[in-house]
Amino acid sequence: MNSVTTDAHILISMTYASRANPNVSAKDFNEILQQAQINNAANGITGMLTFNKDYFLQTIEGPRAQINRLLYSLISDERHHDLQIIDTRELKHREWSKWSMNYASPTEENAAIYLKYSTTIGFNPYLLNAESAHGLMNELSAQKG
Amino acid sequence: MESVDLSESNRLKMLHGEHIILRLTYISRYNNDNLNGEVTRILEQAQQNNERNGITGALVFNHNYFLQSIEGARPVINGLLRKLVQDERHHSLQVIECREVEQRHWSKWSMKYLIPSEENKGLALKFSTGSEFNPYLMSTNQITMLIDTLSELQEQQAKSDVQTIQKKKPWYDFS
Repeated sequence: MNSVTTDAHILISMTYASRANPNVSAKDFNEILQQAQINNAANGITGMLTFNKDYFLQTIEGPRAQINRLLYSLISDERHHDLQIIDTRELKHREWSKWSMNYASPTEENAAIYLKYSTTIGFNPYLLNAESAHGLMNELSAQKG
Repeated sequence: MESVDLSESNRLKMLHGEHIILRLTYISRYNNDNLNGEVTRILEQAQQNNERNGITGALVFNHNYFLQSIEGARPVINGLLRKLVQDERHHSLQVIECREVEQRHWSKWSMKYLIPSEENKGLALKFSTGSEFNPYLMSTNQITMLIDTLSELQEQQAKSDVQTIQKKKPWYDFS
């Protein structure tokens, strides 16, 4: 298994959209976020998550093998379904290095940012392309300060 | 009525990103316990399924590693990825790159099969640090360049094969 762990020199980012399962509660959302923050910090993964009660949009960045390991567990995570990778690319440097998992949800204050990148009222990451998903998360984070 | 149903189904598909062409490149290791001829079977299956699902791509099989590039509608490619992750004929699948593209690169092939020939066996090493081929050590660019170079060499070989056949025709053969 050595061959798959020796690519620690390659940094990638992966962005995906998924649908929250209907029985996922507000408490679950908090748990998902806390769990991600703990696990990511231990595995050298950083990123950004934005979600409402129906959807997740997440960017994760870290060593290629780690990101793929996380992808496997995300695919089988029963708190969401229909996971779709929107973008995966090699990075020269991280964009979310300050956060093990930064996050934002739609509020009155950031409604204009969501709308800026959306055709519809209401957040639906499946309607976003890679560039707009990227722009949305960057601006949400910048507004949080 | 039918047109209404159609537009409804199109609308739902749009919610999945069906309008976006995605190209995904991954690497994996061939399972050595596989039966003889399994690679040929994998390729044939891929070609049939892909044609049905509007997927095009290229597959490199080299030193027991797979390098594959697949392109198609975003939800379709992601559906295939889920199946590939579970396919026990290979393991340690790693997504290398996944990009939106405006046009397909492999539109002529449901799955172009690229197997390094005797002559270009050394080609993989051109993009490697060590003396042994290992795509897990290779960067995105190196993996993409290897697939593209093998593809170009195969096209050149096919062209020169055609020319050789034409040259061999005797002068009196008008057929």
